[in-house]
Amino acid sequence: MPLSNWITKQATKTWMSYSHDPAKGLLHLGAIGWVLSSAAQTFMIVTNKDIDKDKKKFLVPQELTDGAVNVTLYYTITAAIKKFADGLVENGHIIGEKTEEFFRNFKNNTQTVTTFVQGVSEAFDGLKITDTINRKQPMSGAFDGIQKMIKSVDFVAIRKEKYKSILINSFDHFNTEDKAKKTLELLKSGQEEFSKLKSSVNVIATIVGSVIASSIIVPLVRNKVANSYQQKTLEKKQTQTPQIQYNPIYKIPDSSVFSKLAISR
Amino acid sequence: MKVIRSTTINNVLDKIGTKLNSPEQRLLQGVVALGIQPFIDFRNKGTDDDTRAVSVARTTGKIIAGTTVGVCVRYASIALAKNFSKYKILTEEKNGEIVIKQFEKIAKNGIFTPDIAKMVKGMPVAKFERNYRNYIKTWGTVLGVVAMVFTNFLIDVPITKAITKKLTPKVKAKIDNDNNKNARKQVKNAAF
Repeated sequence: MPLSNWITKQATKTWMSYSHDPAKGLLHLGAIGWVLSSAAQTFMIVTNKDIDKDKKKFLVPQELTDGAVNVTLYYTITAAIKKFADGLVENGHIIGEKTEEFFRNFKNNTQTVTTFVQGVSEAFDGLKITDTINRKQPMSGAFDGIQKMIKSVDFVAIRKEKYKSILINSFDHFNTEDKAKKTLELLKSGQEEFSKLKSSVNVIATIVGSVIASSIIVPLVRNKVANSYQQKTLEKKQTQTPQIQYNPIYKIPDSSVFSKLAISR
Repeated sequence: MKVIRSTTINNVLDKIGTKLNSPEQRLLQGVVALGIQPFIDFRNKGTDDDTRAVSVARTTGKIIAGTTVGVCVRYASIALAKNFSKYKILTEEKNGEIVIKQFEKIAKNGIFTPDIAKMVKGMPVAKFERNYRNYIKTWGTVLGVVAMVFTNFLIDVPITKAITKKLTPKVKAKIDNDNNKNARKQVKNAAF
């Protein structure tokens, strides 16, 4: 495959994976960056003649541990914070004004936006109205499902049981062409605002998570691990030092003259 | 449930979300790391003083080198991605919305343009442009990571070495100074 085709293929994969979720790119590429950085820094320590052997015994494991711990903690902590922030937006705990206005037309007074989107996305999921429903992304699912319902509506079909059960209070909002058009405009405006808010919140959460993981938690953990490794290495060195045996260099032989000396009486 | 009614907050969140990406992330990580990590290493009493001094100096050097090179490489790579991801589009109006009718890469400056003509057909232009900006920043970061395979060894390592060599005696002097102060305090307390 020519190089240019291969590059285009990778570029297309990047578009598909990250164009709608730039925070995911920050997370994955950040982890790869740390691996490369750690490899280079370990190389520096090993080849640095100004650092003596005993210190290298601490610094090399410190750097390798730093790398392994850095990548693992960076990824898990950052991913967890990103997922939490994503959940806040997807479950309607943080929403924009246009999004709230849109869902106000569909939910009843006893429901919050959160309970409405969760219920509606589950119903769409159960009835297989959309392919993109994901229980962890209720708001995306709710927007998607409602849009498909409005666009596919023939006004007789609304009365079919399966649709009645989902938006039983809301048919008035799209039971004429004019109303359907206005509701669709409101939906698109809310969906656009939701996408932007979700993207921004995810990027901010990913960056904050990465700073907490790599600048605070990782240094504390890697020092503890590297300290104990250095301790064990030094203890092992001491126990392996051979015991010095104080054997005499020579032995004074018993004198043959004096041993036979006898005082004659 | 928190409804963001303030236009200012919405605009700030939108700006942060669109402007921030890997170079800014790397810069922020570096700045916070520089404020915290050397201090953590300085306080690490689980190792001997000499090792502690080298550790602090090396951590400082690593952060300065890594952040400077990392941020510059990322900015340069994103600029490269932007300049070689050119495309042209034809639009049409559909259901009161401007959507993409046709997408084509510009051969001369389109080596990094993805093959997405079918995927973006019918996509609202505003959404496409936002996604394309995200794509350029991510693809630029990919190019940056590839470049960093070389810059880590050729630039980061020598800079870290130089800073470590310069800072180690200064940190060691600070550690010795602290130890002397502590020793004098202990003697003073013992006397009383």
